[in-house]
Parts: sequence; structure tokens; C-alpha cells
Amino acid sequence: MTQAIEPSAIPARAEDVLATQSQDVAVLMSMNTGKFIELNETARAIWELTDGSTPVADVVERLCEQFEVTREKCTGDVAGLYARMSDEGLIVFSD
Amino acid sequence: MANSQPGFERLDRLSDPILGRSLLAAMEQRRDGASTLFARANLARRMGDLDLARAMFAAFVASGTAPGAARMDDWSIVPPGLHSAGGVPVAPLVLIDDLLPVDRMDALHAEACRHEHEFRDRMSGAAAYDPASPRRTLLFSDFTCERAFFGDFVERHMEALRKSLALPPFAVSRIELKMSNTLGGGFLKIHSDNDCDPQEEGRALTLLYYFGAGATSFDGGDLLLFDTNPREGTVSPSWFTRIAPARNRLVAFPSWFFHAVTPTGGTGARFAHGRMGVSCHVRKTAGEFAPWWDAASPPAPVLP
Repeated sequence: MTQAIEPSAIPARAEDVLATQSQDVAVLMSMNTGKFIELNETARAIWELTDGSTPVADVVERLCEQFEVTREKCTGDVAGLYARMSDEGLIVFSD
Repeated sequence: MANSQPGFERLDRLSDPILGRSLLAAMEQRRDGASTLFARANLARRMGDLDLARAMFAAFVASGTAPGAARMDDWSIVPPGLHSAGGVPVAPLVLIDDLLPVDRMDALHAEACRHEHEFRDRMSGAAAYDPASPRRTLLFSDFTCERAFFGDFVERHMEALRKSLALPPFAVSRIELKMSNTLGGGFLKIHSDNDCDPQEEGRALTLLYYFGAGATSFDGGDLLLFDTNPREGTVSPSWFTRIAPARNRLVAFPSWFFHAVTPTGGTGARFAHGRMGVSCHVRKTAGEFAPWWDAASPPAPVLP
């Protein structure tokens, strides 16, 4: 179930997640559920910043430095992707 | 081929062999515990690499961490008694290649071609597909060539098949046999051959035999066998076994498990070049029947 993502929440990669590159597309898959998602350039950057120690707010901050994007849009994109990753069992949150 | 039927694109992407190999390579970087063996077996069966799937399941069963019902024999590709994510029973699968001597398989193909005009769409009763049907395949029930063979095969090997799939003993009430030909974009959407309570009379064992003459001249037509919760009539959204309809190949699985056939292509209108098969459904009588997937407390799924 999708839940609101707090700026202070710290996303970490789930233990059973596999990351790979296939035909120029980055893919994440849960070994348990077998579901996967394909990452575009922005999503890939978010995944790279998902290290188990960087809060969501800092992920947004760094993406705003890296890409030409408004903070509002970036916050929405990050929250949307993290919600989907959480639903697919690809990340877990700690506060 | 690219599948244009709704639903098949997602399944094709999930079982894409290039992506599957890439994920398997990523998995090889991880520790080689039992859970990794199970995960590799699942990826391999989903992308249709049945040799690798069999090897991984055999290693997983040999590791001693699989549930008690899990066992492999010469015919097993996917052992019974396993559960994938969410506790969904993994569809057990038996596979036998080179079932018939080639001359007898060719004779079966010749018989199908002789009766081309008697093959009918099940829904419309016509020689062409009903465009509204979720099952676009042509059927012919009155074939005689090798009919006795299939009946005898079931009788002689019922015990072994039953054990390979961990099915409880049951009395056979009837064996249904049909020829099918799936061509020109034909497909079967996801369905099960029995959606009734296992205690009721009905189909218990599905055997599918694929035959043809010469080199395969169609593409697609793969059988997708889904991890299924028969009691709830639900399937796993992501775990299934992909089986190519190779000539002279027999597969068998419990009839309660959902399956589908991906669209065939490359056959044009040439009947002789279609995806031909014999489907055999072994029906059981009503009575006590408690399959492993109906256990009150299924074992916890194997988690990495």
C-alpha cells in the first residue's frame, strides 16, 4: 500500500533487490516477488543516492543540484518513485 | 515474436531472456545459499531455460532446506511442494522430451493434416476462430492415430506422474483426448482446466504433447504455467514457467494450475505448419482428495 513519504525518512535498498543493466535500461528486481521496475535517468540517479543513510530531503536537494528541475517537481517525483519502490519491496524506510 | 494481445506484453517483458540472463549474472555476485538457488531457479523457469531451472531446483532440493514435499525425479523440472512470494504454490511441472519415435510422431501429424477440415473452434463450432473467444485454437476430438498410446501411457505411468507432482492417489473416471492446432495468431488466455473443489469429480491431471513435421515453422505458442493458489483461484502476478512447445515434448501438471498460450506467429494460413498438440485430461472421481497446496498452513516462502 502506498504511504506518504516523510522528508526525514531514510530509504535503504532491500536486501533481496537485484540491480542490473539490460539493453541500456537499468532494472531493479526483487528476488522474492519477482517484480521489477525499469529506471529512467532520473530514477537511476535516485537509486544511486539510496544508500541507507541519506534522508529523502537530502536526495531531493542533490537532485535539484544535478538536474534542471524545480524543487516542487523534484519532491513529487522522488516521493512517487520511492512509494512505488516501497510497494514493490525494493526499498525499506527507517526514520 | 512481439505479442500484441493485451496482457502478453507484460508477461513477455517479465520473461525476456536478455533481461533474465542479466539478472542471473547479477545474482551470481551474491552468496550461493539455498535461497539464491531458489531465486535462480525461479528466474530460469520464467525465461524458459528449463535445463538451468531443473539444475537449480535439484540443487535447492539437495540442500535440504526445501519443504518435505519437494522432490525431484527424472521427469521433474519444477518440484512440487514449493511456494513463491506471498505463499502462492509454485506450479509443479513434469517434462518428457522425445516421447514418440519420430516416424510415429510424423504419422500423428499426417493424421491431423488429413482431418484439417474437421478441426473446429470450441466456442463458435466453425473452422475459424471466434474473435471474441479467449481461446483461439482449433480442436479435433475423433483422432485415432496413437489414441491408444496416450491412454496406455497414462495408465502405465500414472503412479510415477502422481508422485512427480505430489498428487494424492485418486481413481480415474475418464480420460479426455483432443488434438489441437493453434496457428495464425491463435492463443489461449490465462485459465485453469479445473476450477472446482478438488473433492469433486473433475480434471486432475493435464498432459500436453506437442508434435509437428520438419523444422518448426511457427514462433510463439509458448505455454506459460503460473504459480497458482487454486483454493482462491488466484495466480502470482510475476512467477511462472515458460515452456516452448518443442516437437515430441510432453508436459504434465495438476489441472488446477492456471496456464496460458502466447500468440503464435509465422504460420500464415498453412494448417500443416501450426502449433499442433494432443491435450489429455485425466479426470478423477469425487471423493477425499487433499493436495499439498490446500494444506492449512503452507510453509513459509523461501526468502533471500
